[in-house]
Amino acid sequence: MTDHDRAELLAIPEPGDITRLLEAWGAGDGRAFERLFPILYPELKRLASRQLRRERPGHTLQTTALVHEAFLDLVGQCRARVESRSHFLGVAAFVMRRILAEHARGRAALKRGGGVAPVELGEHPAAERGGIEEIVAVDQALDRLEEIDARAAKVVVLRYFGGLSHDETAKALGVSSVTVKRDWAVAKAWLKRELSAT
Amino acid sequence: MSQASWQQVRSELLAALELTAQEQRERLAVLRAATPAVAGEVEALLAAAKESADFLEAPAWERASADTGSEAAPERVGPWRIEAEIGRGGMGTVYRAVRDDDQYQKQVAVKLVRGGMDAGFVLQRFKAERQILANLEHPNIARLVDGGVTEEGWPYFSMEYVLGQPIDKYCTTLGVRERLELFRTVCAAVQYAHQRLVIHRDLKPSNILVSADGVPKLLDFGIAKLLGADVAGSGEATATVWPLMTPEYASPEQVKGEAVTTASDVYSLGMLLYLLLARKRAYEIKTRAPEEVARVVCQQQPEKPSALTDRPLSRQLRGDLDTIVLKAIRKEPARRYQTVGELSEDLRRYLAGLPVLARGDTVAYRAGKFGRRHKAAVVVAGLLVASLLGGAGVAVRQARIVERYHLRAEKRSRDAQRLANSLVFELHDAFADLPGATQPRALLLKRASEMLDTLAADAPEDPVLAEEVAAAYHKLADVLGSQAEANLGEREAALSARRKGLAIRERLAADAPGDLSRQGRLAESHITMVGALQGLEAVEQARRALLITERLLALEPSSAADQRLWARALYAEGSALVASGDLPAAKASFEKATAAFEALLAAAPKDASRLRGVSMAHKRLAAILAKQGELPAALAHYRKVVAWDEARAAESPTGVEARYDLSVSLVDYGWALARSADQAGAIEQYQRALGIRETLVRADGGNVRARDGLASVLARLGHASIAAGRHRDALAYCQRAEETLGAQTQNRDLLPSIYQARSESYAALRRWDLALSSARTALQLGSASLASEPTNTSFGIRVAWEQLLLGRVLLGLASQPGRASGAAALRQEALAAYREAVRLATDLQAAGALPVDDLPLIDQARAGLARCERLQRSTAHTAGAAVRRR
Repeated sequence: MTDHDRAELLAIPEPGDITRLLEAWGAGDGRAFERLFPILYPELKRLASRQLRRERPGHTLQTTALVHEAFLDLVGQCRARVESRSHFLGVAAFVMRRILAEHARGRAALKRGGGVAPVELGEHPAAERGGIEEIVAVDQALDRLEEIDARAAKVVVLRYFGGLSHDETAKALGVSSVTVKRDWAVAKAWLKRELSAT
Repeated sequence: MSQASWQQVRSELLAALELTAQEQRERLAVLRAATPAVAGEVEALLAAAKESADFLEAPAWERASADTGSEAAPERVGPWRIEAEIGRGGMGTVYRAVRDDDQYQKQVAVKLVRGGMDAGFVLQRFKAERQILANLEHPNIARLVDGGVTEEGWPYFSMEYVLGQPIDKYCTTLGVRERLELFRTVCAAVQYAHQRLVIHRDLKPSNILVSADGVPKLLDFGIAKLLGADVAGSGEATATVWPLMTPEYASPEQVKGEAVTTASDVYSLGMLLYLLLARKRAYEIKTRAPEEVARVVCQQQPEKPSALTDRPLSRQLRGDLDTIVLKAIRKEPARRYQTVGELSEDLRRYLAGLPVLARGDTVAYRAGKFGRRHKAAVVVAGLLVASLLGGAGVAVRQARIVERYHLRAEKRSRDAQRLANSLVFELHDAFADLPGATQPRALLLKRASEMLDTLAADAPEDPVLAEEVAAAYHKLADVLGSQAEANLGEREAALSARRKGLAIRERLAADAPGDLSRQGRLAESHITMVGALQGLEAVEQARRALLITERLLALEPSSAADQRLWARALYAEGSALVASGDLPAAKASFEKATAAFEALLAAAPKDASRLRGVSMAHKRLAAILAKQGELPAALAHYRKVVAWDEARAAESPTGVEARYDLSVSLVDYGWALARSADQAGAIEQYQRALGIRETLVRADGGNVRARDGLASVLARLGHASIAAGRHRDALAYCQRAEETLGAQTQNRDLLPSIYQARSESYAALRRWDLALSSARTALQLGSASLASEPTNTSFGIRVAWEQLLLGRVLLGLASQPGRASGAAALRQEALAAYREAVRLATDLQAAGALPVDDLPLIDQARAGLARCERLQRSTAHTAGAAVRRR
């Protein structure tokens, strides 16, 4: 059973439950994350696929805006405490990593096609390429980074997959902004080296 | 790497990142002396850090959405399940897909427009491509399979999926002769397209795939152009298309944005032939910069193909093949082969060893050719060739005779078709708006109808002819009996003609699902069927028309013709729903229809047909509002309607249609006034309508609709007069109405209505005998109508009112002094009539088919019933008392 299926089987959670879980996660309760993930996943997946299917290039919703929309849907405006919002952004980043990695792997498979010579349709040289491959590669390399530097890996998840700023990342992880900056610099160098090595 | 050494690497790296390049080198040197492994790692990471300024700074989400262009691959499109993307470009994305049915796992290529591009232009091209493909059926052109709109609303179509290699790759294993044969097959496909007036404009190896069994297929008509007709519906400049082409195969005129002709495809084929023979392109264009592309394509003279090849190939190419290729790719279109057929023919001649036409027709050349040809066995071969040539001559002559015969037969059917068309379209239309022309028009149409049946039986294969026949059937039906034009009351004949026309268009639309104009004409047929049918059948036809028009609008949202068709389909749906008694649903349809027509009118405020559309839709909406008791709103609509119609009638003072429409609006307006208890106002509007209709009947006495219309307004004046208490006026109007109504009347509602009014007037004047006979006649007529159409609720309502009237008149008669003898029987009959009225009315109400203002029917019928019972009790009591007294 995939996480998605499992999430579908869960009853729709009360906004209060989510707030409670978010607070628990903020307080370091690892099980809260396990509960939150399947709640956030279908909602974010729905919003993300809608965006990926419909939006024009250049008009894509920012990750945080997307996550914020999910937050409003799941938690609601009035109950939204400042801390639970930043915790939500944190959890959402991990969910987004899963969603984007799945999406990118799917796209990459499609691009390779089924062994048939592709039909050229007058390629647009300006079209940006490689984002998909990068996402797949970063996702895989992150697993390795986690083993040697778990916090730096988290920073990458929050910043790259979650679209969070330095300060938001610091808040969500409960560390200083300087720490986030250093982790980010280290992780970027490390990942860059990993990606160019393969 | 261990956690511990990573911590060291990490802190060394962070420290180094704060330093200048020189300081970094020094620090690394120190580190290398102590822990070389850590130093190496830090050095590598420092180098990576230098290149990672932008790295990961754009969030993954933005990267993902930029890379997809606009959308991820859909899981399914229409009936197709997407398997893989097989190409994408400026115009859209192509996927390989299969049908989900287990029965046949058929693969297709689905082409989908991508969102976010210049949507208008892309959709236009997309539509054009679909239409072009729909018209091309050739074994060497990838076939159109179906088309439609995705759930997200993007248009798509599916084509035959060609599993094969680009022609240049396929040719690598072939000899020169085989390449030429294959190339000639491609030429035949291009020539076929040219005969259908389609120029491909983007012929190149990747657009010509060859299947494993050696069959080439032409793909991608994405920037093809339909000659003569402007398919895209706009003056599409070549300049907008050229950036989409592949410059290596683009002709100078295409690059310069000049007129593109079939000679442009000849050029591209020439470049392709060059590649196939020399295995190299005539020239490589390094950049896509427009100036560079233009310079190379327009100025650079290509080498002979043989010059780019080594022996032995160069020897094969030298001479004829060099000449043929260079002639095909001349810079000036006029100096190329004028048709693809000529190019192909020259290759055939080359293959057959005959003199090629590209060469000058010099004696030396021909002699040389002859010598080579007869080198082997001069005499025998010479005789053989001569006999073959002789045989060919005979064949050619026979072919000419056969062709002439076909031409003659074809010409005859064309002539008949032209005559039928002329009868139906030209002569009929010339008569259409002339008063007094109904009879000659009918004769004309009878003849045309006979001719049409013959034609339809004869030539169903030719889509152009078939459509003309279908259109002619509809025209015929219009005149024979539609509600929308003058007619002779032959409803059945009209319906039959309409069904024939519809059947033809259904077939045409099914044959080419991607042909939007065929779909549009099918919708048109469904719409006209609505007026000719009743009940759910009519609703069904309207819904079909709506389905088609909504699809069309999704494909071409800016097309005024499609918007109009959609508005008309909504209108038709509303009409059908009204007839089947579902007023709330009908109201919703007409609300949509009014909005649609208003949008159309806003774009062309003086357009007569749009004025008519907007007025009609408002009129229908107003009628529903009035029936639902919202009279002020209804009256406001009607005032607008009358103003629009007056404007239109003023524009064409002799036009029958506009004046008739105005009179209808006046009648409806009067009806709504009557409902809001303004009888004087109602009579005033009715009299204005009466004036118009009297003029129309005087001008064209044979026009049934005009007569019906006149009778109807007279009957209404009768009813309004009764309501105003002017019963003698009412009787006079009823008299005139009955006299006006011809035997051919189509309005089965009218005569009972006249008798009903008459009966009411007589009853009010206490002329009970006359009132009773009129009431009986009214009921008889009404019951007959209901029996013929039991589901028609307005007939049911009328019969209920007639029963009520009959009961009232019977009781009135029974209460007459001196009627004592028959009174009991009359009361008994009245009781039965009231009972029937109650039964009908409550049934209708239970079915939700009793409009608000027919609700009094129930109360009145119940009250009448109660009165009967009371009367019976009291007479029984009186009779009993009399018996006891006696």
